[in-house]
Amino acid sequence: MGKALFTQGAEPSCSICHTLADAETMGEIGPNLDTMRPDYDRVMRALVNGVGPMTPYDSLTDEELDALSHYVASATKADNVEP
Amino acid sequence: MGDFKIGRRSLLAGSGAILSVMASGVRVQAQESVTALPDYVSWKDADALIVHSNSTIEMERSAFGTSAFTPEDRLYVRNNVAPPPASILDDRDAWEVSIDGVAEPRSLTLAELKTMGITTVAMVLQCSGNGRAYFEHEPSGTPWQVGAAGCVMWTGVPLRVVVDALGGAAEGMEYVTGTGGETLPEGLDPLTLLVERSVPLDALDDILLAWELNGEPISLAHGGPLRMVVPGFTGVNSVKYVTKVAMTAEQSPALIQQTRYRLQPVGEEGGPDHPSVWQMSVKSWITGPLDATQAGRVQVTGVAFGGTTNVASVEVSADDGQTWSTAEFIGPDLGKFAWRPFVAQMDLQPGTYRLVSRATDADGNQQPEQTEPNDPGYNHNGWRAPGIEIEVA
Repeated sequence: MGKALFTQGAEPSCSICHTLADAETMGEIGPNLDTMRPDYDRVMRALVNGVGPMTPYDSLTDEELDALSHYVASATKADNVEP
Repeated sequence: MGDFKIGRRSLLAGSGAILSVMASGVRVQAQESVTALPDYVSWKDADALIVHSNSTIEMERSAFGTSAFTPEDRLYVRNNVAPPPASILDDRDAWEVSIDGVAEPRSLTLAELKTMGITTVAMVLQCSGNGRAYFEHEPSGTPWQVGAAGCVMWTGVPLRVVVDALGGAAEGMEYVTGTGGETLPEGLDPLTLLVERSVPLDALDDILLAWELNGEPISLAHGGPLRMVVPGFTGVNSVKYVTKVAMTAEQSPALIQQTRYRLQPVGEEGGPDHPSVWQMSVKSWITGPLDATQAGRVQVTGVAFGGTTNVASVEVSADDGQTWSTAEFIGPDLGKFAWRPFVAQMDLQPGTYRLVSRATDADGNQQPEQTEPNDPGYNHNGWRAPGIEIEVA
């Protein structure tokens, strides 16, 4: 579910702004997630609170936030992929 | 969303994934592992920098040294939106900026600006989030410690000169609004990403339209070919690749102005009713020694600045703030917007010490022990958390 949310489900799509090899996205507006390798908590904080120009994803459910955070952390091989 | 947000925060706070505990009990997020510099900053000194991401790069604390200004190849980088293509630097003098909200609005090329006037200002360029790592509520965003700051010299034309040449500010204007030239993607409301910041019109006499940084044409990473530089204000207000400067009656409608960079209480979302992140406050930190040192006379160094006014004095403590010694400024005074390196000569016997510094500005404002928390973690200037623990042998 996390990958689908990343590429399509989240609105606006994460792919517009972020590069993530696993999702085959090449957005260049925000940080390159492959090099940033954010862990679960950092992704979750960005999704819930926003960061810089990124606004909070208020429309996502708790389950979707969890899946998306887990997916990004896993896809980038972050040190911590669980909360 | 508010309750959920707080609940989620509590959940996150329990993870402790990348937390360490300093001697003072202050929790600080560890730095991420260093990765290679992105292409657009490949010319920078990698050994002096911490790469948080391709758009957030911090200077190592050990790289500050005792210089009154910061070399560009060590200066931190923070881009809210990816920089435009480097081709915008191919013909710098052809860069155009439109000036609006004046009696005679028009566009000016950089070549024309260079004929209108020139001055140089030394100033602290500091990311709004510098010190975010020291807030205990784990704000979202890059966990900058002290290295999202430098003191640099900008050269350009005073905006006041340009505005006066175009007939002066129009009646009823209250802000100076700068618009960045970043390329925005399709599929998003442009206002969600547009880098457009407004500062009070009172700042007009200090603002520069700058084309040089430390005597060299401004690099792409730092906003070349032209940057609207607002001395005394945090970095986000100095708009890079500036394409438009307008005197406006209202603040920009862009989200970066309306809801982001606001000082809202912890747990709340930012909005126009919360104070905007504008002027910097008095601040200092230790730059050396940073680890083990020999007993005897120790030169404890740091930097201090007042934000929008001169820094007047600095005190240093080797016992985490129980007792204080007055430090001396070293090097030239580059003006009220610059920082002053300082030194305190301390005789230290073998043992463990925690070094902290506390600055006071010319208006008598002194750094607080802790900064009142705000949700996004901006404007940290507390003296205790950035302290350094050292072993004296």
